[in-house]
Amino acid sequence: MFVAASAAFALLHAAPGDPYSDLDRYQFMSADVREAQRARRGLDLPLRQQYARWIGSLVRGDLGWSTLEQRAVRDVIRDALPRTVGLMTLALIGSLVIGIAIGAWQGTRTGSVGDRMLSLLAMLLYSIPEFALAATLMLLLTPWLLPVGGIMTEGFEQLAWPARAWNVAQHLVLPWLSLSLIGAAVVARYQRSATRDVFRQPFIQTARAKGLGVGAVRWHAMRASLLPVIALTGMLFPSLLTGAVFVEQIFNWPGMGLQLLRGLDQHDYDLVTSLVLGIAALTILGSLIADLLRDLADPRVRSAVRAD
Amino acid sequence: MIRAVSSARSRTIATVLLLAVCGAVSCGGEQGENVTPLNSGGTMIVVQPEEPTTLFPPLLTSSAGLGIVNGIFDRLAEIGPELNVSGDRGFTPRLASAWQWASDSLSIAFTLDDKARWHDGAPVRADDVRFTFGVYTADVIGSDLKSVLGNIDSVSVRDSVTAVFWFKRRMPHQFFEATYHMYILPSHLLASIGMDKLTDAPFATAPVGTGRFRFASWERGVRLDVIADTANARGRANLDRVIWSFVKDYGTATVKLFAGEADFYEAIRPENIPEAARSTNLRLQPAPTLQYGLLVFNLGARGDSTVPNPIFSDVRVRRALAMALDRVKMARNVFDTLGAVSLAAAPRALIPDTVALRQLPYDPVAARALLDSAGWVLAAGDSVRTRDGVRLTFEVLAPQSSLARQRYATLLQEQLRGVGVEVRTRIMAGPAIGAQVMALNFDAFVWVWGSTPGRLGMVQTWGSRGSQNMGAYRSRAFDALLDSALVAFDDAESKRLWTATLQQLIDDQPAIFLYEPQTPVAVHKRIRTAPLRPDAWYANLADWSIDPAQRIDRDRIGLGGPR
Repeated sequence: MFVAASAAFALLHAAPGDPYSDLDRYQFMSADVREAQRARRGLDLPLRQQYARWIGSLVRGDLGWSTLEQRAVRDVIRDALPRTVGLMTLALIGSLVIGIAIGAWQGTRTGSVGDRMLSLLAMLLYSIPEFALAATLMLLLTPWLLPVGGIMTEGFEQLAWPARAWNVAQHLVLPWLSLSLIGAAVVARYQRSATRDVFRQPFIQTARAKGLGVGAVRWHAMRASLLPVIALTGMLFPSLLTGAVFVEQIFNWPGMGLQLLRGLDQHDYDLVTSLVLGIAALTILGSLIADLLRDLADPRVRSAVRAD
Repeated sequence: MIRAVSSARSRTIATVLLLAVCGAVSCGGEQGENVTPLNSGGTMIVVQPEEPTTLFPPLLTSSAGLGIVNGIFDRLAEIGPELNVSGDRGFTPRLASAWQWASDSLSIAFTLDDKARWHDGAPVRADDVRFTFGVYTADVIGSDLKSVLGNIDSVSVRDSVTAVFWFKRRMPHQFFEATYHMYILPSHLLASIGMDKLTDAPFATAPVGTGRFRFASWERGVRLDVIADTANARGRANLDRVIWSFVKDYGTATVKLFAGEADFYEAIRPENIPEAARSTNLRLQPAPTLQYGLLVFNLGARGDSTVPNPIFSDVRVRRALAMALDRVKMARNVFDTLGAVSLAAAPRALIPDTVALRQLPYDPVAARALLDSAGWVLAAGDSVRTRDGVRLTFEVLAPQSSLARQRYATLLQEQLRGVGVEVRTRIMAGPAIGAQVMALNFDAFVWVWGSTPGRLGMVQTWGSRGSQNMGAYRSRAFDALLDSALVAFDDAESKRLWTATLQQLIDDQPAIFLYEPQTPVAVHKRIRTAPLRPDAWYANLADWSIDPAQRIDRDRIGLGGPR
């Protein structure tokens, strides 16, 4: 986390310009005022001193000041984090449910026309960048079916509770679908391969020989084939986070990704470094959860832990 | 007799009816004061890509925040639609109900409207005006506007409703200086906060003003709501609610507009105009602006303005480059009919006599001859001119946020190639361009300048000591003309001097004046707008209304309460 945030700090400062150098944004700002603002935020200090100040603030739990939002960075993140985490969680669940279902179906029917068609579709989705898929979905599904963007419609506060929930759900569909479809394509490929491999395992043959029904056999196979997918979840999380940066911008979803792009655009140093820190933390957390789930799901790991 | 009685009865009935109607529409009575106009109501959604960083008026200069703040706060007086800045001609009362000039014209006493109230109910006092001037001019606040308030010596309080502005020097635009730049702030809420903490105080994000709209809520990154102030002394705003919806992505903002999820979009791009014109819900409305686009030359050497630039310090070269460009075709190429060639260092709306200005003609043959005479010659078999072994080549910067400016950079490259000049275009992020420009580490850049009424900003942009004189243009002749124009009281003399000032810039070509955007704004058809003022389309937003017969679901949101 620290290395990622430090790298962001260094790269951002290496880029020409600073938060007050955009002539379009600060067209009328005089040189004196510009210098005063820089001095106020410590931007006139040598880079080493700025870095030391930033580290010092971080240690004290102070994430700094957003020059873009004119408020404390922790307040910006407090607003954005739940929106991104909510979207990511739903996208992750969507990716896993859709991907596992499709992959498992394909794994039991490898080589069929349906399998080939779905593989092609998965490959297509996998190769489309998130922003292109998001823009395509927007063009196809708005405005007749779904709202264009944002997290709620104007007049939201006048709605009754069921209508509010429905309104939020409507706004969620497109960003969720954009992230979930690509995630599902990845999961489906792994699940298909894992299912196919599991069905070749001796324990499945044994289960069949014992006379277990098709449903029971598939259930056993499914449990065993989930292990690679659970391991994949740890890697899927950062990939979804990266995708969220672009999807949030296209659908105007005011989460961490959108703030990151705005911050980068305007050289909002404290905001960007803090968001990188936050995204790194979420990535590590995602990997940790995936490891824990794998430990829980795999009896071999459990027994190894017990033996230790 | 019967006819006379009948006639008298008719007159009585007519009088009663007239009084009833007058009562209903509050004609002749106190305007406002909890009276609901017949056409009030409705919600308008303004979609805009840029979100303001603050609502603290001294720190606002971009239209993103000014549109919001203009509804929440008031100035002492409002400039007229002609944007006259000489004396008080055309100005209409706002917080000040009257004003009186001193006999020597070195002070103006503003009498505040005794019915004016802050949105928290407190009366507006002369102390608020004095406090506001103190805030705008405090170094610790860092307002960009401090430099344009330099002629105001001080503001004193004569009595609770009379504030007196004292000026250092008698100038034609004193009244404009006192009224145009400052939105009056509530001292009863802010005076107790230290000046150094004002910009970060909660007030900066949840302000209390005197305008016909009051602040309702702000969900960062999403939207900001203002609602009609129903108790306003000048009458409530017609619209119940204006929602400023922030959509960073231009494409998404445009889709939102076409989808009917927004009612007003100022930044619609030329490529989306045909679709907007075909829309059954939208209308395109001409919206004059005070912007003009230009190619600014760096007249000093890269990184050192004291050393002349080897290419651009020669006026013959600058004039030749201007004459090599077919600016009419360029404007047509980029904007089609939604842009025009810029005539001078000011938009047409601020040029007193457009006909009197002598333009440099489009004449590539003359341009080549001029470059030859300046020593930049084209050797046989070469495509780029040279002088003493140095090639006539330079870099043009354009921001990645503006397609129009990028296209202009490409067109400049192509057209100047025709006279043996090599142009390298470089598209960069806004802050990166700014950093290079401020360090004078550039050759030329395509920029858009937003003028202020009265051309007063020219001191900063083109004056030898101007803080925004990016190209390091220095001309004693221009400075002298500008100084004279700024202090000319007589209309005819002022017109003559301003024409001469602008002509000096055309002759010197410290920049090539490229275009004036004339892009319309897109408005939902049910919305009735007031005239759009060139310096601020939002100036009369409180007078906009929605046709009751065409209202849609969101028009029934109403005032509600702050969320």
